Amino acid sequence: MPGGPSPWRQVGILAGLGLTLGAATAIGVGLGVLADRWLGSGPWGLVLGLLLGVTGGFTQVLRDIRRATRD
Amino acid sequence: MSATFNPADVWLLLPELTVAGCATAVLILDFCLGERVRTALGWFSVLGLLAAGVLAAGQVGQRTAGFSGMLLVDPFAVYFKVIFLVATLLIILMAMPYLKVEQVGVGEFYAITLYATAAMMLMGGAGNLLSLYVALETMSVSIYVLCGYLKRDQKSNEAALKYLLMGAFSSGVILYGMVMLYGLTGTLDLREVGTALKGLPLTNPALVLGMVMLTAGFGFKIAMVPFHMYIPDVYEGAPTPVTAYIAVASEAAGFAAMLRVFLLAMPVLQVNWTMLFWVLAALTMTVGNVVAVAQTNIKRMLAYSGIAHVGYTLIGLVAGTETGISAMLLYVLAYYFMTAGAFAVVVYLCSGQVKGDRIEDFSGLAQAHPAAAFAMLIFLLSLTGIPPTVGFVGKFYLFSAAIEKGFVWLAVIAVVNSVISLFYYMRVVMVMYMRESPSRLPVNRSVALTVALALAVLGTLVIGVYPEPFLEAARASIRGVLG
Repeated sequence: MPGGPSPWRQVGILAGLGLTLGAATAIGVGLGVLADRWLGSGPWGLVLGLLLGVTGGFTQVLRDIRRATRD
Repeated sequence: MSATFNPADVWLLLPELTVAGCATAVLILDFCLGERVRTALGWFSVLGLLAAGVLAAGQVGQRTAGFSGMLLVDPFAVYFKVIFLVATLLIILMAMPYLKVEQVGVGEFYAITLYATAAMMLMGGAGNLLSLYVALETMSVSIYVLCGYLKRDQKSNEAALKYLLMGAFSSGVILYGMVMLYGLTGTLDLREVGTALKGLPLTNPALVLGMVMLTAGFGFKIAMVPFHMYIPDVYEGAPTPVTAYIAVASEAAGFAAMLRVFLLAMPVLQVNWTMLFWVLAALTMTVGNVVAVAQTNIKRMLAYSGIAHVGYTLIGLVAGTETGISAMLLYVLAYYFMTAGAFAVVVYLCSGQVKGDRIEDFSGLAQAHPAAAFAMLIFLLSLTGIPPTVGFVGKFYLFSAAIEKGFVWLAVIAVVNSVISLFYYMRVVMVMYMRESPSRLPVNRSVALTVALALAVLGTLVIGVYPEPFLEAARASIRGVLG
């Protein structure tokens, strides 16, 4: 492990990763379902929303990991 | 469904048990005998893999299920078992000189690699969502440990942490998709899920959720865009043989699992996921190739090139026919000879001070070590897709399958991408053949590495010139799964 000034800072950042992923996915799904209702585009709104949500969640998680290990 | 344990089923597991037994033996021998047997342990692992290979070859032509349908022994499973065993063989041969240079202990490395291989073999033969998941996790955890094997190297530790976190989350996503399928059908057995899903309307949100989550989760495992972002960091930081192992074996295992799940459990949704994979394949190829152009670190370049090749392989899944999927299986075989070979040359250049990581480290290789440069040339030609290498044959079959099914635009995108890839592969060739080497080039000579390189070159050229038996094996494998 990189010996940063305080390992607790790392723990703090890493502890929030699960919530980040879950929230991003949920938001993506929510927006997707809303888009479906508004545009009537069958399941494709949900698919797109879900993919974007998961992707965004993972991108943010990766950025957080990079930030945590860089310190 | 009664789940009685039939002891005779254990015989079906003989190849996996051989590999796992060899791993345990390596651990014990390393502990008891210590430094004296370093090299011998490597060759012992190779022997174990060969024995398992013979046993797996003995399973050719069988079509049974054991452990209440959790373990399938069919041509598909046997094809992948042989692939994993040969891939691990190349990796262990590559690892022997590398570990010597890096001066780290070998027993645990071989043991963990072998355990991961046993897990992959179980993944190839999984008939049940749960047994698939357990095997997937066993493989993943072993690879997390292998990534961080160079304990004193910060990059290795970072790579391990990144891979662990991303891998754990993606496993969670896969599990979520599996839960959706279980909730809808009440069964975990892949074939039964497939049958039970037939009655459901395709706009069922839980079904869509399950399908997309499984796509996303497996997408992370095989490094499909847009789930690929952690891959270059991990490839760069992990020890080179481990990078090769991830690039080759772990992706093949990911494909095996994905094919089982999508073809057995969700054939009813084929129309939907064909569209989805069309977009993802095109995206993956393009992003992989375009970003690879800018790389100066050879491991990162090979990482992005690997991502691009995943895109090409997915074309087979988009085609979805027997031709398409058998082309996919052939390309997995092709890909690992080319890539493992390229990484073996990188290990060849790793000798303490010079890590062989940057493309400039290849300068003048042709003058100093013509054989190694020639081997690298073959691998790069194959990666680009130039005959008479296996890369050309694999791409040819994939693109034909796509065009047959009417996906002409996808084939066009793939060809354009192959042309783009020519640029960065040939740049390495140019550096090798047309630049002067700065000083005497130190290399890592070893019998094991020579054997690995020879096997890889042989594989690349032989299958390129004579692909029929391998294609027939691939077709036989997929017939059992699709039929």
